[in-house]
Amino acid sequence: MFGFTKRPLFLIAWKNLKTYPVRIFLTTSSIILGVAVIIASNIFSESNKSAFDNLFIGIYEGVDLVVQPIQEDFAQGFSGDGGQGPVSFEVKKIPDEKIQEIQNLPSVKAAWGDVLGYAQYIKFGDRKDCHSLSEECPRETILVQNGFAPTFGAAWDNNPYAAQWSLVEGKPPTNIREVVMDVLTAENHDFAVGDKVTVLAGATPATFTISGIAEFANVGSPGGATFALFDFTTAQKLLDSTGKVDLINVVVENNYDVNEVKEQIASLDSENLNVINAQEAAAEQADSIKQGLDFFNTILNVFAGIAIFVGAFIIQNTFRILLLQRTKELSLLRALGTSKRQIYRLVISESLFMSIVGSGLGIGLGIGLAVAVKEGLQYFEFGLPEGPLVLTTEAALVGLAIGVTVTILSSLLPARKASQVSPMEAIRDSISTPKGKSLFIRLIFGTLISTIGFGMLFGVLFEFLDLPTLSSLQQVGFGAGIIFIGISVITPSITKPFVFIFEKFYNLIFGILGKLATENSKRTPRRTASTASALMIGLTLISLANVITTSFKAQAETLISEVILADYQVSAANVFASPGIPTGLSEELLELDEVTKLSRTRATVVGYNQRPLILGAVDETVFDLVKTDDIEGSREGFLKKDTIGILKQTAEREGLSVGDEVLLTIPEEGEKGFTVSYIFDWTTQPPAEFFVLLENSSFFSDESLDTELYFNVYEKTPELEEKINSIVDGYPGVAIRDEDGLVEEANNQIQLLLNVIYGFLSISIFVALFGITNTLSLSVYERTREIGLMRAIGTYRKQIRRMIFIESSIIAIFGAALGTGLGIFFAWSLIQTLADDGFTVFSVSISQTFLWIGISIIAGVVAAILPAIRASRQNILEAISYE
Amino acid sequence: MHPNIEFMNVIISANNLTKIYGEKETSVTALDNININFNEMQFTAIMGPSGSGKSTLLHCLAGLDRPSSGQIYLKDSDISTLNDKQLTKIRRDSFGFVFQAFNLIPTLTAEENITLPASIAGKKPDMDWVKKVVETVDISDRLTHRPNELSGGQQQRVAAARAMATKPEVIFADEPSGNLDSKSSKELLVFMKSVVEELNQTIIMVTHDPYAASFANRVVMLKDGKIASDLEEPTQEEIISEVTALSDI
Ligand SMILES: Nc1ncnc2c1ncn2[C@@H]1O[C@H](COP(=O)(O)OP(=O)(O)O)[C@@H](O)[C@H]1O
Ligand SMILES: [Mg+2]
Repeated sequence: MFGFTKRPLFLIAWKNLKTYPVRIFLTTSSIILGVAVIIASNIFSESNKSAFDNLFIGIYEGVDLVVQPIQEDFAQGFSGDGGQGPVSFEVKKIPDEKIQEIQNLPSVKAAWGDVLGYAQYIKFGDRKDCHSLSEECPRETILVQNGFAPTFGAAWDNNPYAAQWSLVEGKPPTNIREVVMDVLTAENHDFAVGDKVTVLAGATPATFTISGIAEFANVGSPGGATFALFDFTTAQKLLDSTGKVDLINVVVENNYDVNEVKEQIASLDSENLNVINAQEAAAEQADSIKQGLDFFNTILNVFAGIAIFVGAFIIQNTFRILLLQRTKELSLLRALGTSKRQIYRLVISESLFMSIVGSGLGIGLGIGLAVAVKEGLQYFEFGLPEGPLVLTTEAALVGLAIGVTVTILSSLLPARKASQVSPMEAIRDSISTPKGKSLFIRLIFGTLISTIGFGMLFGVLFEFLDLPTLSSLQQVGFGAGIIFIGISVITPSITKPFVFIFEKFYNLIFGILGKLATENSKRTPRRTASTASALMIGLTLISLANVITTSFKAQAETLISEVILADYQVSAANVFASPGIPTGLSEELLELDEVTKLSRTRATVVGYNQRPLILGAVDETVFDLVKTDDIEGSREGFLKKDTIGILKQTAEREGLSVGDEVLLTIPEEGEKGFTVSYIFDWTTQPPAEFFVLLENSSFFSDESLDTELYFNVYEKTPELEEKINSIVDGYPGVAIRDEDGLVEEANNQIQLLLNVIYGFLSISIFVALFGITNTLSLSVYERTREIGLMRAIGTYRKQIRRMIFIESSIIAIFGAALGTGLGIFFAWSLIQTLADDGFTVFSVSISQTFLWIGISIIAGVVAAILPAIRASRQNILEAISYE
Repeated sequence: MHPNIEFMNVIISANNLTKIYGEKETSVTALDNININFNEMQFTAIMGPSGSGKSTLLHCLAGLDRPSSGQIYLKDSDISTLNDKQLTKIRRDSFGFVFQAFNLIPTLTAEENITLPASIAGKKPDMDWVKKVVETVDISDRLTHRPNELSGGQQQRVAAARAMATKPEVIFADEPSGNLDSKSSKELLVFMKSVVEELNQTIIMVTHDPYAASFANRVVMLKDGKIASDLEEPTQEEIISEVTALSDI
């Protein structure tokens, strides 16, 4: 009868899948999700990469060569990650004359300069409530920003050869009172041609008229940044470039070789000028942005990995469950003479089909996800460049390969097990649950693995084991990973004792249903455990993230209260958006009688040993307002001229001690020698590594910006607070915080990060849900008779459902408790490891912990809805009939 | 009004009970317009050839299945029109069950199985009564054991004890001794009889075994979904001859 098909088993496999599409979905749900995340992240980053490539190629369209200033050695590679806040970084620029010089070359058709710097649009909100009627009440200032993108000012160039910016509306800026705004900002913040707008560039805000609105190479604005485009000389003046430009664009005459011209220009001033091809410049700029996107992509891939890892657990479990349900069918095949090998192949070919379907669905879902992410980011005004979504064949193949491999690997063990089904099984009436191998062996094996993990982990914490080639953090990480695997192996053996712990409690609340449910989860400890494990993974990561961040918050809180001795701290509201604090503010504050003590901090980049370092200048009072610890030398010594104070870590790294000579390269000053007079520990985030006294250092005196102010007042009163606020309001882009404000700000940042992590990790909980549904479906199926009997002797449907819910909650609590416990322990270990780096506070948020355990239980109950309904609808007569 | 109200001791009765399985052409009439009363404190056996409708009748009486037409009265209330929830409550509070096999929840001990209906109802079982039942079915020393640690006979006795534990109005038994060896079978039947005689319970038992039926006060014979005969206090010989007569036709 199968005479005409050479592969009857293949046919059976195919038929099986066609008949039970739900099976495919249940089994592959986790793979679908995992593959989808991989594909989505890939599409997202590929699309943006290509869009950015196009964007930067667009920028330099028509331009042949780009002339850049050669930065001082120490400053190389320093740009972009100044990190510590607004540091006045002396970037070298190109004097205007060079433009003319280049233009004068016969081989050059056109040359023009570009200027770029910080500029911040400012909007004014409503007048704040204020009590005094006589004074003019200040209005709330709003810093205009698109998402988190930076804020730039640049020169409008209306060069005929290459137009980066093209006007959408209005006309170019022609005088010192006009500005052109990018179209993205204009749309997001409701500006129109003719409006007045305040721009903060340099130290003092000024008001401009919007003469036009422009778009940049077909997008609203590159990277979503806000752009204020001024006429050339205005831009130079505002952006600290008077008489200078940041780079020069060059167009070569038609009949000249570009590379020859490149040499020609470079030879004009080879010490200060670096000439590169426009394409190179485009690629360079695109690359730096793409690196940022890669980071995002990596994060997404990590989460996809977690989803797939959890998925592997679930696929394996589901396969085992489905095969168990088909024991009869398989044993019939065996009885009919199918070999074990053939059964094995049957199962594997089924999993192959499923994996292909699942991965395919995953790719489809991934495309949808990418579209959603893109739309989402657009909604939040991130201003990514426009462009089609790109799904590379490579990415699709990788997604497919991962999906197929993981599914097949996960089906190997269940397939082996299925092939061992006895042909007699078909004849037996009862639905038997196969007895697994001894849980004791598992216990021993798992304990052994975990012991190795604990050895590695505690080896670091109690300093008895230091593995070579691994840093302590890595050793702890690997140890934690091994412990996790060990615990996963052990879980089936500890299911019974675990359930035993709250059995009594459950019996008390739920009566006989509690008893039945707890007994049930003990009946198949292996299955209960592997279902719980899937949840355990997610909860481990979630509680790890939770504890770490809670500890960081607590740490920040103690730190801030311990080390900020000042009543108020003033800094730039947004390090990307504003260059610093105009010096006028400290002067105004000092005029207040109530201000008892004030310290200013300024910073600049200097060269030391050919590397860039931040040199800070502080007032003497800083030591009373910020907690510092003396390590070597004295504060008195530091007050002397030509001496320098050094941070403890820097001194250690550079091998410096008090009395040593230090030679610094100071921009526009040249080399200058200092004697180390003071080594100290700056207990907060230090603003610099080397310090000099502000009044001793002439080269700081012409700086117009402070980076930080700290000050004390005679007594904190609401009236004084209002007075201070109204002064600070006169300086847009500057934020003032007291201790509570600092703590709140730190907490907000940490919480934001935590929420993002939670969002991603919820995927793993979602995947684990499917596992619970599958397990319970099987459990219900196996207990057909038992449930029928219970119904016959008078158990309500509602009670049957409740019983399944209780059982599910046990699995969920088991997984959640193990995961939470492990996560907290791992977090504790991590914090212990970081103790040397200053992390001393270990704090667990009880409410968050219980929140997530609660979410897990609810998730468990949700996962149980379908099996519970199925159980309660079971036909009683079918269940109890015996023929 | 109930047609048989004059029988003061009628506990459960069927009125024009018909049960048809399946659709039109393939339909099977398992019960064909049956009218029957069962009295209190009686041990009734329902007999008949395989497929005669014994189990179907029992299931309909016990509220496990719904009649296609006709009524079932428990005392004087019609239970054939009740919804699932109401029927479940009746099964729990007014009926007891002993099935041929798989009578016990494997994860519960004998004692927990016996008190299961009370536990489900959230009631405290009447422990004096349970003790008495347990002694009657002679399983006092097996109470803490799980079903898989009990013999088949013991399991059925535990089931019988469970069926009685809530002092139900009627105990339904479907081939309770069908899977037992003759010794255990006899023990079980002796207990069932004593339950009726000493503890004043009412039992309706389906069996095809004349020996089992001989323990009953009354034997009702079914054939093709109809009542073929109704014997009061028959001997085993009378039953055998009746069964033979039925199967000969
Ligand atoms: N669920 C069902 N579906 C269809 N026919 C059934 C069903 N249950 C029983 N029957 C039929 O009803 C008739 C009576 O069955 P049953 O009451 O089980 O008889 P007995 O218990 O006397 O052997 C038989 O012909 C049987 O095939
Ligand atoms: Mg039958």
